[in-house]
Amino acid sequence: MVKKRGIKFSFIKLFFNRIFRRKKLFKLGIYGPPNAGKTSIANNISMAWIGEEVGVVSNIPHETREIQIKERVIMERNGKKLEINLIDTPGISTKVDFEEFLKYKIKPKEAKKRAMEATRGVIDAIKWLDEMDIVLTVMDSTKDPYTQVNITILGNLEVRNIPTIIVANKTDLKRSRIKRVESAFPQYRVVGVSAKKGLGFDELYKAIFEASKKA
Amino acid sequence: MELSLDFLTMESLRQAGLNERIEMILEKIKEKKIIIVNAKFNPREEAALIEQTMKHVNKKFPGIEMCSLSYDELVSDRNWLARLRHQIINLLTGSDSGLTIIGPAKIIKEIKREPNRIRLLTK
Repeated sequence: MVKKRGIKFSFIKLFFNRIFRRKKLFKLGIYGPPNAGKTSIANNISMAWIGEEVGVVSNIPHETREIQIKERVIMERNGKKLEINLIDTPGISTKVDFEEFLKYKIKPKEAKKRAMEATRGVIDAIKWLDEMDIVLTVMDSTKDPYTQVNITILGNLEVRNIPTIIVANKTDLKRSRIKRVESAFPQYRVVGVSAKKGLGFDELYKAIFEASKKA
Repeated sequence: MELSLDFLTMESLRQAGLNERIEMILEKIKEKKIIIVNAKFNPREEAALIEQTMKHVNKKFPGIEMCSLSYDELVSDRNWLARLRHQIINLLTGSDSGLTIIGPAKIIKEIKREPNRIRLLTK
């Protein structure tokens, strides 16, 4: 009798697990145009939960030219855990001008190499979109957010049904205008952060936990 | 500097496959032409255009500037009833009316979207 009940219970448990299955491991992608602060945000998240950085940060555009992954980052909030693979992607852009790199005193040969790597990085970032469960779309809150690249990223997430949070970075700067980001994309949740000063991340973690329910 | 504008209809473009029509657009842009299409590109087309552009980037061709706008973005002062009517027609006919401008980044510095107008800034 006891055994029978046990079988019945595990069947019910399996049935409900199948129906209301929650993913155990989420792929959290970080997308945006070059120099929006994607790697700085990835570093903040990774440092907070596993004490390791994801990548190198610099003022030179296309510093991140390869997909960078931190696996099994466990976030905790109100007693609940969320396990993620944190995926930092190269900046998406419609152009890569090698002459831009020369302005940062990079030698021509190195600039050409960087430009070629950057083009491959953009292609990889787009290809990886299909893999993501949740995406942080990072925008520089000191700049006009209504750009083609931002619209293309959000549009592609929408057609793939991938939940996204807009992260308006650089809120520590005087020129930062979160309201401008919110009014450009009123249908999305916008969280303001300063990756440089580590501000606004609690709100971001709250938004990630909420987004994981839709993923 | 001489600027050349090429007008293309989405109907004629979509007779070719996605890669083929993007290649056709990129060939024209590499000839320093600005392309104007009578429709908004969908997000997958936009992503494919960026992806394909990156494969063409070299010292002479740094890439593209583009702006793809829906009908609603183009005529933001239309009243809500006119917009709703247009959206229903779009939904029923599968149309994607709007405008797409694509040009070489070597010539175009920026394409700015502003209410009721598009500003094309050249270098």
